[in-house]
Amino acid sequence: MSFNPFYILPELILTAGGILVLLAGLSTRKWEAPGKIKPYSPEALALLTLTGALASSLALLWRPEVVKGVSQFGDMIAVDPMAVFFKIVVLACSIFVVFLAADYFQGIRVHRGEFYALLIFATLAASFLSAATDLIMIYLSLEFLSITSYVLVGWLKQDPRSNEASVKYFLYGAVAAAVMVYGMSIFYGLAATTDIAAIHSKLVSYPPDGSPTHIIFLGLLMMMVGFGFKISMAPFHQWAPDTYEGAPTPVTAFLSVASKAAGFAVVLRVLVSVFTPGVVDWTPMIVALSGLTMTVGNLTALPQCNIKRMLAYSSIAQAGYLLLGVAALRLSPLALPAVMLYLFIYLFMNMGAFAVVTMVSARLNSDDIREYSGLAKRSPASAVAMAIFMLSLAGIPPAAGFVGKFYLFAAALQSGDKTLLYLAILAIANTVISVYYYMNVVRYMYFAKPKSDTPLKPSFAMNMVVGFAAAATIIMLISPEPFIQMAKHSAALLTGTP
Amino acid sequence: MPTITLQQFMFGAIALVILGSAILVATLRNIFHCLLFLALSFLGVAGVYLLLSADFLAAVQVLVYIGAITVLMMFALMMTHRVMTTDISQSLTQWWLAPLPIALGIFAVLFRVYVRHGGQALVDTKHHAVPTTGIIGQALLTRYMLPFELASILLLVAMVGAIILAKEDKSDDPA
Repeated sequence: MSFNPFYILPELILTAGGILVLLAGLSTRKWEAPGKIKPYSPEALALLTLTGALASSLALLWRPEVVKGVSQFGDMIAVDPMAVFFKIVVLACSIFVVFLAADYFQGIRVHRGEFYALLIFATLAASFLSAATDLIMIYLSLEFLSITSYVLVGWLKQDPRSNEASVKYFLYGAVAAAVMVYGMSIFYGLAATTDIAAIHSKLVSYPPDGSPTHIIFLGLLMMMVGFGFKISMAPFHQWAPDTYEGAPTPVTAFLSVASKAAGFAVVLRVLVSVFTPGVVDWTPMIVALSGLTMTVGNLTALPQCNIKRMLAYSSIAQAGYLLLGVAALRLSPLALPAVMLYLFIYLFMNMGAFAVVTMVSARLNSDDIREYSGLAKRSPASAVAMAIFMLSLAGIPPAAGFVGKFYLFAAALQSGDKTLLYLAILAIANTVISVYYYMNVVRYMYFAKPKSDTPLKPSFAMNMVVGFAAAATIIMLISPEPFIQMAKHSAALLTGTP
Repeated sequence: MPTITLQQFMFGAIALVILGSAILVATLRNIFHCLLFLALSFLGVAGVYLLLSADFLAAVQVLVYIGAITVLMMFALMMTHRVMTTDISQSLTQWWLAPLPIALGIFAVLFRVYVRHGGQALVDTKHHAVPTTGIIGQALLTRYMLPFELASILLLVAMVGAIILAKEDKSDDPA
């Protein structure tokens, strides 16, 4: 058992930085105005830590050894392009969240130091989750991410909605994790090991007629409960609306992108490396779950008047589209890059949307969609950006969401499978439904009469963040080629190829 | 008269303690007494682990279930005064039949396993017991070093989180 510190440099930076931020938090006063951010304040240190980890992850992505894939700590984690790619997505998301939180918490008295420390540790858990190749490591990092998220969701102690969100998230999460661990124990029982590569070789070693297919399928189904909870897949999505609504908006943004991306990383890794074609056919299961998830998400998003609830259902629907790519994994070589490209685009469009929501809710103290009336007059730049994000989430040009959806549907069509074709048609129908609730926000911003004409003044940092996300969303449509190349490059796993 | 080994005798005695105290947990009317018998039942389970020569598991059972969980419940009870002294009826008037199929189902599964193995012991009891604590310790610091270290960070995070959520914030409190 050995490891090379270079390969886990992002995690080492996160661990050290998290502890440092915790200590720095002791020296700040919780009601200090964010205008007075000093070099040693938790925000600045958290930003430095996350940027350092992001830089070291980027440095890893094109290293020749990493492209082949390296195993660390005796097969506990893999350092392969897919793991590094998901680390980049998670770290980029957390950097956004730091900016959002600095803006969001300016009027609220909270423990700032500990907030950023926990955010960094949640990022650490998510990056381990995207690299885990051992059931113990998968379970531990998933629970680590969940436990940290429960606390972050309940951070606004005085707000009963935040408390409710945290308790709901905790109860659902505990049950999902218990079912998942039961599923994992089945595979430990079959293979007497927790290493997923070894489990795979045990599962393929059964003779064709003597394979305990039912038990394997049951175990996979139980594990999918835990993973499905993380990616807010129906029917394990019920926590999402209340938790998204009650949590502090930056935390909601974290849950909707980083937590979901890490969940997808583990779903992809387990499905690709363990359940190869000879073991069990999971395509019909994922097709059904994908169709259910996108339809439930979209139909329930329609009547929402709270923007965070609406984005919660929207993120459930987006998970459904991503599952369409997962379902095509076996039949189309395009599927894995398509899922990764979509997640990368989703990172920018969803974080951008949450940045605008954070900006508005910090200034108007409300998440009601009606409050967005006349945003075009009160803060024209934010309104334009929000319109771009909404178009992108709906998958309409001129925004990158279109490219992402195009590739997902292309993967489904390329597979040539009948059920996947029907699923793609269902996804297109769902996209049309989703246009209604996404455009509803745009309608309020541009055509509804504002309650007041006082301009909202986003801070310079928030303008930069929203502008950056909007620019990225546009650029990825105009010249998607480098990003497609990156997704294709990253669609490589240490063990097993789709 | 059938002869029984010391192990079988001990198992019988421990099983009686577990079952007896579990029944008392489910029937006593004073919740505090229930808790005490719950601790006794946990202790019995630790005894079963010892008989199966799982010494580490037995120690963890005592430390975690008796030392932490039961004591935590006692603290919670002592802080809610009324519950301590009130008599609470534990009999369910409407749903008393519901657990029956579950109990019968579990019994059926266990009985099937018993029959299938011809009444033979499932665990190899003749084997020399090897203390497991040392082996587990070695595994934790070699193969499982990464999860072990990650768990320690998780504990730190859980502590920080618990303190943050439970702490009463005073208006002039620096944080």
